Parts: sequence; C-alpha cells; structure tokens
Amino acid sequence: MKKTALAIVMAVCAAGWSASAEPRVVCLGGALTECVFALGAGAQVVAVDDSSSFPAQAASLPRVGYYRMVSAEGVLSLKPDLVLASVEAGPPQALAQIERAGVRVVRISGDASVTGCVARVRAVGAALDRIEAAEALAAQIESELADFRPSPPDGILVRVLFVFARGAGTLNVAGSGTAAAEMIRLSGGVNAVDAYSGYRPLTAEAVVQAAPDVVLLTSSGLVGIGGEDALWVMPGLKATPAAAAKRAVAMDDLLLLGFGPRLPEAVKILNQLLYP
Amino acid sequence: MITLEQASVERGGRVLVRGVDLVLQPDALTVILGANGAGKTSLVRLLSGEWRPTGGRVLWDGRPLADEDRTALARRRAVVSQHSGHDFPFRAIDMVLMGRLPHVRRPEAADYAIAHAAMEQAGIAAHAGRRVDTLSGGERQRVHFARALAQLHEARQARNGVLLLDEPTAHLDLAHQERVLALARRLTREGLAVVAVLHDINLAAMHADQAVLMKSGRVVAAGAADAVITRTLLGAALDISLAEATGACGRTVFYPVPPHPSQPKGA
Amino acid sequence: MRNADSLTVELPAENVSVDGFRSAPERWLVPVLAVLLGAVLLAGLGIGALPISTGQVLAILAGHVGLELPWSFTEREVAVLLHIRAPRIVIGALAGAALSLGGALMQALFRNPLADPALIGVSSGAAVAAAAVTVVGPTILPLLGMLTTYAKPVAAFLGGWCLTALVMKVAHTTGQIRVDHLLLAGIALNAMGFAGIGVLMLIADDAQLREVSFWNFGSLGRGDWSVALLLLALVLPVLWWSCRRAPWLNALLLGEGEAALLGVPVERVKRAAVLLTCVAVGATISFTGLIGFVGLVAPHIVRLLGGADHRRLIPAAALLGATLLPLADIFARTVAAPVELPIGLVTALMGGPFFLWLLIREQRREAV
Repeated sequence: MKKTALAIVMAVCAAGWSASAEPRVVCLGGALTECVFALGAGAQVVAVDDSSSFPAQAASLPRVGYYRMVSAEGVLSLKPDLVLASVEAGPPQALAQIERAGVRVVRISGDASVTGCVARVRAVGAALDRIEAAEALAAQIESELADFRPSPPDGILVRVLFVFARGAGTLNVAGSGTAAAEMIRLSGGVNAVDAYSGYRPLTAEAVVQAAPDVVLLTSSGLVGIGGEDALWVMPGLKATPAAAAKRAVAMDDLLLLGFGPRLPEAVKILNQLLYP
Repeated sequence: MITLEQASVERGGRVLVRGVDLVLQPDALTVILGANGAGKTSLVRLLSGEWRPTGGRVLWDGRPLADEDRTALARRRAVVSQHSGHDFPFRAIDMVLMGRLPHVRRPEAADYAIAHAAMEQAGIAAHAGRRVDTLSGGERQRVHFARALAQLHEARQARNGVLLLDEPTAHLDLAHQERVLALARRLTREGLAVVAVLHDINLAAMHADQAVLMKSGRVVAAGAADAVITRTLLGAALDISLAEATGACGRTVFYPVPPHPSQPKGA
Repeated sequence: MRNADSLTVELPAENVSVDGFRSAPERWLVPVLAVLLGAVLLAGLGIGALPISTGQVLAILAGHVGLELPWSFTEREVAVLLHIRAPRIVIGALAGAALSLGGALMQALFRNPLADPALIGVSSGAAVAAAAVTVVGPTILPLLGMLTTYAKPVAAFLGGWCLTALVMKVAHTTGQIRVDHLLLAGIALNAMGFAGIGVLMLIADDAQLREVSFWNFGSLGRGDWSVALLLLALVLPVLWWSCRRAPWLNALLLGEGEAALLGVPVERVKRAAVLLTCVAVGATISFTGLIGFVGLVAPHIVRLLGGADHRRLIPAAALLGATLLPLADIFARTVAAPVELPIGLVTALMGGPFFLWLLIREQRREAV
C-alpha cells in the first residue's frame, strides 16, 4: 500500500515537469481519473466528472458534471485533446459530437473485478502512451492481490449485507454480480444476499432472513440514511446479528466500488474492517 | 323549409319533445312559448339540426335535415343560442366574422363590410373593436345576433334562410328587446323564416305572426299568433291565471293574477 | 344607424378595412416575435461554454458558403458551431414551436386557457416508455438487437402515442369525443403513467435512476442535424394545419354545438387536434425529454398580448415558443458551464413564477 502511494507521489512530481507538450485530458469516470494520476499523467488532466473524488488534486479540477449526462460543448470548452470515458459515460450523442470536433475519445471498459481493474489500468496507459508505467502498475496490483490471502481468524466467514441507500427509508441491497459483492468476496467475506443479481429494494423479512453479521455501506450512503443510529431502526435490520453487535462499516464510495488502482488497498482495508 | 313530422327527442331516458308536427312558415316570425322545461330549447335544437330526432322526422326542403351538408346548411340557417360567458378574449368584430365561416375560409374586405353592417343592425357597431369578455351580457347577446346576421347575409338576398333565436331578449333592456324583435320582423319581410323562443308573452303577442305553445314536450297549440296567444290557451300552457286588458292602439295586454283573486289591483 | 334600416350592405365603407379594428400590439405581434426569434437564434449561436466571437461566428458561417472573412477560427470552433450549437438551436426552436402549438391546440380543444399538452397523456406515456428503456432496456433490448441510439426516442414516441390513443379510446365511447371525459381519462392515465415510472424507479440502480430523472427534466443536447430535420418534417405539417384551420379553432371556442351550427366538422377537428398534438409534442419530447411550461405559457402570453383569434394566435404562439426555448437553453448551457442544467428545470424555474404572476394578475383584474 505504501508502495502504491509512493508511486503516485513520484508520478505526480514527474508529471509536473513534462506536462507542457502532453495532450490535455478530460476524464469521465472516477476510476479512470485515479488511473491517470497513478500513471503519473495527473498534470495533463484539465477537467474531471463529478465522481472523480481522488486524488485531492483531481477533486480540485474543473467539473463537467455527472458523467452520464455531460454537455458536448461544456467538455469542448476545456479544449481537451483526449477524453477518457468509461463505457457508462454519455449521452452517446454528446460523445459523438465531441469526437466529431476532432477530439480523441477513448471509451474504456473494465468490469468490477481484478481482471477488469487491471485491464482498465492498461487501457488508460495505452491511451496516454504510458504503456510501461501501466504494465508496472498492473503487475503491482496483481501481485499485491495475489499475495493477499484473507483468512478468517477462526475459519468462520462473516456474512456481509451491502446496503445501497439512496435516502432515508429505502434499503437497496446488493445481490450477486455487483461491485459490492465482488469486494466482499475479495476481502474474505460472504455476501449475505445471493438470491438475485443487481441491486433491489429488500423487504424487512428478507433482511432478517439474510442474517448479516456486518452491514456495509458507502460513506455517502451512510450520510444519506441519516447516520448509524438511523440505520439500526430501519425495518428488518433491527432483528439481525449485525444490529445486535452494532456492526456497520462504511467506506468511501470510489475506494470501495471504483475498482481503480487503489483496489489492493481497498481490499485490505475492508478485510481489516470485517475482521478487526 | 323546415317541417317536423311526429318528431320526438329522447335524451338520457327523458322525453324532451314528443310527437311534434310543425311546418315552419317562411316570411313569418314564429314565436315559441312555454314554461321552463316545456321543451322550447329542445325544439330549437331539432329545428337547427344540432339534435337528431329519436322518433319521427325533421325535413329541410323535403329531405331529412340530418342528410344536409353541414356547410350548405350553415349558409342558410343561423342560431343564436342562450350563451354562458367564456374566457376567450375575442374582439366583437372577430366574433361576428365567425358568421362568415360557412362562406369563406378567410374573411376579406367584403366580409368585414358585411360584419360591420350586421353589427350596425344589431346596434353594437360602436363596440366592434372591443373584446367580448369586457362587454356586458346584453352587448354580448347583440354581438351573437350580429354574427347570425352576418351568417345569413346571402340567404337574406336569396330569401331562403332560417334564423333561430333562443331567448334573444334575455339580458336585453326594454329598448333593445323591442329593437331585436322589430329587426326580426323586418328580416321576415326579407324572406327569412325567424323562430324565437320568448318568455315575454306581451312581446310575443305584439310581434309574432305565428306562435307555438308548448307544455311538457308537446305542442298544445300552433298557428296564427292571434289564435294561439289567448288568455285561456296561455293560462293552460303556463299554469297561471291570466287577465287581459286592452291597451293603447287597441292592443291586448296579458298580466298574471293570483290563483284566488279577491280584489284585482286597480280594477 | 344609417345601415340599420337599409336592406342592402354597402361594400366596403371607408372606415371598414381588414385591419381597421386591430390595436397596435395585435398588428405588430407576429412581426415583432419573428424579429425576436431571429435575435435569440443569433445570440444562441454566439453564446456557449466555448468562447466564439461574433466575428468568428460570421466567418465560419460565411466560410460555409465559400466566403472569406478576416476572422481566424479553428476546426474545433467550426465543429462546435456547426455540429453542436447550430443543430441544438434549431432543435430548440422547433421543440419550442411544437410544444407551444400543442398547448394552443389543447387550449382550444378544452376551451380552457390553462390547458396543457400533457393533459392527453402524451408526456407521461413518453416518460414511462423512456424510463422503461433506461431501466429494463439493457436486459431486454439487446436480445432483440434493438439497443441503438434511437431506441429511447422511438420508444418514447410510441409510448406517448399509445397513452394518447388510450385516453382517446376512453373518451370516444359514444361516437364522439367528450372533452370532459377526455380530461378525466387524461388525468387518470397520467397518474397511472407516473405510477409506472415510480415502479421502474424502484427497480432501477442509482445510475439508471439519475438517467430517468435527467430525462424527466429534458435536454436539447441529444440531437444532431438529422433530429432537427426530422422534427422540422413533423412540426411543419402541424403548424400548417393549425394555421389553415384557425377559423375552425376559433369557432370551437364558442362551444362545440355552436361550431357545428357554423358548419365546422367538430369531431374531425377534435380528433385532429389531439393527434397532431400527440405527433408534435410526442416527437419533440421523445428527443428532448420532458420540458414543461412552454406549452402552457407561450400561447397564454400570446393571448394576453394579441387576443384569442387563432389566425394570429397560432403563428404567434409558434414563434414565441420557438424563441423562449432556445432562450432558456442559453441559460441552461452557460449558467453552470461546463456543466449543463436540464432545460426542463430552467423552463420550470422561469415559467413557474411567471405563470403564478399571470394568474394573480388576472385574479386582481377580475376582482376590479
């Protein structure tokens, strides 16, 4: 983890010297922004979308709004040479218009998995012509994760319920195939709900049946729900082992679900939170 | 012109007009009299073609009225209905110009002249440029009358039009009541058949050539005004005791008396 | 009073001319609105997140027709001006005209100056269909090989059409359209439509949820020249019909019975008004998303300024709608640049208070 941070700092410094002739980049997607900075091209970034909250330098750059609803002219007004867009970025018409204005638009896929994360790093590296740095970062992510063997102290896997809260009163719970489920698996836990895929609002009874030991949230989700106290009075949650032990765990949205270059760090943090 | 043969109208399970036989006289002012709910407006709607008879026939020049082309019909038949106010700010002249709709798609200078003349005849020309939503009820009534006149301009010259007036004197002051009916009579001299629903029996007695007396959807008497507008027939149709007196120029005037008159006032 | 007793009509008297009764605002309304429209369209070309000077705008436009002007510009500015701003402004003008026309037609049909095109269900139908494509489309449409850029507009148009047809069907049971039933059916089906959106939002993930709510606030940024041409092809016939049938619409305001007595084919006019509104408004919002208040406010303002006569109201309302929407769009894309506000948000924020002011003003006037 320290190694990663050090690499980022060095890369940022290095980028500071060589930025002038480099293409100007607009990033649409928080994980992409992280990759760009991790590859030492942070100084080239002229604007980012609303989800790019890390690193701090990125968070202070001009914003082009929600990455699925960008304005073509808004992006073009920042005079970019390269737009790195996650596959969800849009609307497609706006991206097409940006391309037609002579700006290179690179759409970068990468699902919520270790391979997806590594593929994303390599794709960003290719787009920025920093292939060697990308290979090094990818290898580092892979080896760090390969070295990490989450082993529950007493052999019992913790059942984790990921609550995706969008406001007071709603409990959207992650089923299988979600980024949250993958993070829980990588960190050595068990997703308490696997009867469906994607996010669904769960009834109180189903929450009780899931019997989670820990409730996992994003930091903004926990704020939206009204804090931990509000969480435990929600229907169904009250009657779970998690409530009895008052075990709620919150992590930064982008760190937890972004599957960016900080993935090894995120996995280790979550593992420590699940098995303190 | 318009002939009714055993015409009936039933709407919503209620018989509004039952078995009416009527031949509309051209060149005559026909007045329809009757109590509220007697079927006067329904009869006007039958005559105008707005409603189809549910029994019997309504004929226009010998053919079923319902088969007539609606535009051709509108060139020869105009209706002034009982109006409720509405919110749309039309100018009076534009309202009158709507009477030209069956004749021309877009009103031209000639139509403006016709509309203007119609407004003068209805005594509303001074308000031509005003918005109807700023006019009084009586002024609006006269605007609608002028619209009907503009609509029948050609029919007046061809002497083959029908003008249907549903309570044309409602909202009007005494002078304008007189004026409207005098104008209606003059139109009959131009060859129009004019039908007017009236409540004022003395006004009717003074101007009508023909009269139709209605009660409960039936025609109880129809024919020459002198023969129909009598104390007994009116009294029976309107469910009221009437007295009559002879006024100036030898005209008969009707007035209501209480059911059990002890001492007629002023007698 | 000279004419009152003569049986002939004198043609045409000197004081009677076609425009003799027109007040100044009525006579100048359409020309002034046309000039305003031109000004807003030009301003829209010159204003945006990417600074392009007036000289550059002129030079680019002139360059397009082979003229050279002494202002330099880059390829990027050409692309922004000709392929982003220009189609967007044209789409905005056409969308504004379509919404305003739809409003004018509905206000005539319902004989109510406060009627809105949404009353016949076209907006909620389109919104449900668009939300469905957003939320369940990704799982269903690829199977049918349909998930293209146009899946959502096509679905939205069909959705608007279906709900309008349903509203018509309910109001059309006895051989004629009953306007009161039309209104009530519209209210009920609108409520059901928005309940449908509620259900879809319940099963949507966060990103889909945001997309649905963005769509429900509209944007003019999703189209190019092909969309502009398509809208032109759909809006122009509606404008043509409305202008041509303006006298019929006038007569309709007297009441359906009155209009029929004047020879107006009332049922045909009512059906045409609903279907044409559905075409114009449905096509518009299927590309732009929901945009409120323009359809309500634009014809209403025109009526206040120039009276209810549809011969003037229809072209003036189309012009005003075509002016207001690009104007709102200028705000939407510059106020928070480089971020863009949803245009429906701007029209609601600008139109809502203005409309309340109109209502209060009218109440005061009636009270006097």
